[in-house]
Amino acid sequence: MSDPVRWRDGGGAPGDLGALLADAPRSQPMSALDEARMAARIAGVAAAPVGASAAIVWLRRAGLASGVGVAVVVATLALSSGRARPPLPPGAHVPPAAAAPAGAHTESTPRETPNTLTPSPSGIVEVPVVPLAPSPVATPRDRRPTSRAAVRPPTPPAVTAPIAAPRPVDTMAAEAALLGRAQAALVNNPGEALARADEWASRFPRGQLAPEREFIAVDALQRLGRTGEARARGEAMIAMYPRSIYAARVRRILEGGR
Amino acid sequence: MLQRFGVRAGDLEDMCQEVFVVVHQRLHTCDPSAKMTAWLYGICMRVASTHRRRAYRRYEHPDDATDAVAPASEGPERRAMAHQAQARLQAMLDEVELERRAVFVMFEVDEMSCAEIAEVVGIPIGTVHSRLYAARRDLTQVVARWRARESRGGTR
Repeated sequence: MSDPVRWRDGGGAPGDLGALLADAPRSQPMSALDEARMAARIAGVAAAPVGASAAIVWLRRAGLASGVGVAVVVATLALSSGRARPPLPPGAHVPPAAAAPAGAHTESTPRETPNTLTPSPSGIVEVPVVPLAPSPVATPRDRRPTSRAAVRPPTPPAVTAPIAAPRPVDTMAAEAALLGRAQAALVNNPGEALARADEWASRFPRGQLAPEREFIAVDALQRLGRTGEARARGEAMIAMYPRSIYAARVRRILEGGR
Repeated sequence: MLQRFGVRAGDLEDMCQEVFVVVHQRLHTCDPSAKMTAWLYGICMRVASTHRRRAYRRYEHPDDATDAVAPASEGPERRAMAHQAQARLQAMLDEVELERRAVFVMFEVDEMSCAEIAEVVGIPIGTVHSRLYAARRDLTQVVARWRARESRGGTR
């Protein structure tokens, strides 16, 4: 069965549709910067336990594959057509945040901040390490920095005295590790999960996974029967991150569903 | 794929993350012996479908889609026209059912062959053809409706 003539190639499109299609841009693949930002955003999801280790390998494959294109399946097209890199074998390199072992304290590890995103030999773009301004106290306006902000170049500090260069901080990897531990404890030991979430909040008040953290905290409080605290914390979270996908899940928890 | 379902540039990151959340939650339902592309395609379609129904769908910044058609060096007039044309095309496509739309965009815009589309979506090639023809029929009707409206002096 042969393919029909495309409308954009003069195949009889009605009205101005042929011209519109001829000028339409193809679906855009992710830039290296978008890819790194997306990898950082999903790191928390990928770090969560999902059961069998084989399933985690599948998830990482899915996660890495989807980083190739703006949408997940753009990449899966490539898997079958050979236009992009193939799925990685188990044990292959994964983004550092997703692969961070529990207990890793990488935020204190000095690293160089790359000016450009450089694919590793395996083809995976490393998430840039971004220095963050010190923020000892969380305030109500302490909004979660978007991952877009996370890859912006750092702003010079407004001080007059000469100071040492800010130490690069990779909070995502450490946060992802804390996320994994908190999620692992949530069902059987919500008190432990809550403690992890609070530790997380005190260590990273401007953390990049703050909505995920607050979601776990609300869930843990609800499971502990501390419904008043759960509601207060949940409503604060919804007010601060109304467009987060976790806001909807917090609402469901507060309404008694899961 | 989310782009092919009509998710605008400004919403892509959020929707992509939603896809991952669903993948994470539903991973146990994925049959390793089946095509993962088709499984992910289904997830993307459901996420895009939910997004389409939401009241708060963000309207793209004019520059979101225009850069790919007319770079900044082309000047504001050309960019405005390009943006207007893209907005018109997207509005037409928005009136087509999602599965048909995705096949149509893959074929007409991304210039994939029907065999490639069948492979990605996980459907027989005959179904690709039928969805493509259905999308063309729908769009022909959309254009006719728009023409009638515009001839009456209405605007979109």
